Amino acid sequence: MLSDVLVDVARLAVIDVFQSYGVRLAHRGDTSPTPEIVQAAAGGLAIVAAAVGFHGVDFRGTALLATTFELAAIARPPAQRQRALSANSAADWIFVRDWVGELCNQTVGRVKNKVGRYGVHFEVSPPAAFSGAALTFALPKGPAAQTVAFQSGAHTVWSCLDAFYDAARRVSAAPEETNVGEGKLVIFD
Amino acid sequence: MSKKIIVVDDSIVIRNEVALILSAAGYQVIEASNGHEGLRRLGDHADAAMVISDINMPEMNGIEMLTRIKADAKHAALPIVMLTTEGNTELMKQAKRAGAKAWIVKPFSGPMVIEAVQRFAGHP
Repeated sequence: MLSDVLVDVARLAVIDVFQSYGVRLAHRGDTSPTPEIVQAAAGGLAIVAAAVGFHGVDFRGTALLATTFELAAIARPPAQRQRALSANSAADWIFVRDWVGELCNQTVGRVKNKVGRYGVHFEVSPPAAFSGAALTFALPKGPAAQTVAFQSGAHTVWSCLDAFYDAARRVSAAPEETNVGEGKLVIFD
Repeated sequence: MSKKIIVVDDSIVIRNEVALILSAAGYQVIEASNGHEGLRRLGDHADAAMVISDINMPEMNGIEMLTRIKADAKHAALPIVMLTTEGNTELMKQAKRAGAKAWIVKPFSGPMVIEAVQRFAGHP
């Protein structure tokens, strides 16, 4: 079933994106319907989040990604890690919101590249990012959507791929790789 | 005078990253946050040696900007490399037909960006 594939692909996409920026995440569990973002905010952590919409002929929805300011700062691209970021700096908040938007964009990009092998195609919208002391994901509405929590040290990452499609849709068991993988340079001759 | 590379991406962090990599290698970087702004920057810096562009951006996406640049006789020979999360080979073929020189699937490394720039724009 497509729903089974999506759950695995979405989880792995988040783990792989953070891994590519030097942060190892452990899958902590599925949090729906617990509104865990509020609990994290109540612990005094500031949350940075992003949403990316996606739409295809028979597949559409929204991806959400949220984490702490501190973990987003740790997961920056290598050339920018030397500069210290401060949660007291408005400019650094702009920077971190932008970066979480890009992390969410790259997560959806990985999902897109993976599910394309199963004949699921969609376009991705630019990310919208936001932050605050108390954020709560609304309960996802898609047939197999879950809010998933990952842990890296003291920090948590939450994600949700809330996708709408035919819940009975089946996919082939072992599709061939048709896309170019992440982190690759392709020269056109 | 070092060569100018126009970097187009709606992410500030990605633009900063590419700019740091290229500046350290001796290139001058001009930044733009979407395809429209990329075209304006190219108008202001007609001597640019190369463009590196994201695809999924607000206002004008990277494929449309690529098509417009290639349709302009003044810049038809300008090397353009796409830097994107997209790994779709059909989209790559579309970009190749439109005149792109290469395609990088994010995340990227410094050596990867330098390799592409040196290949198509030459040394700084």
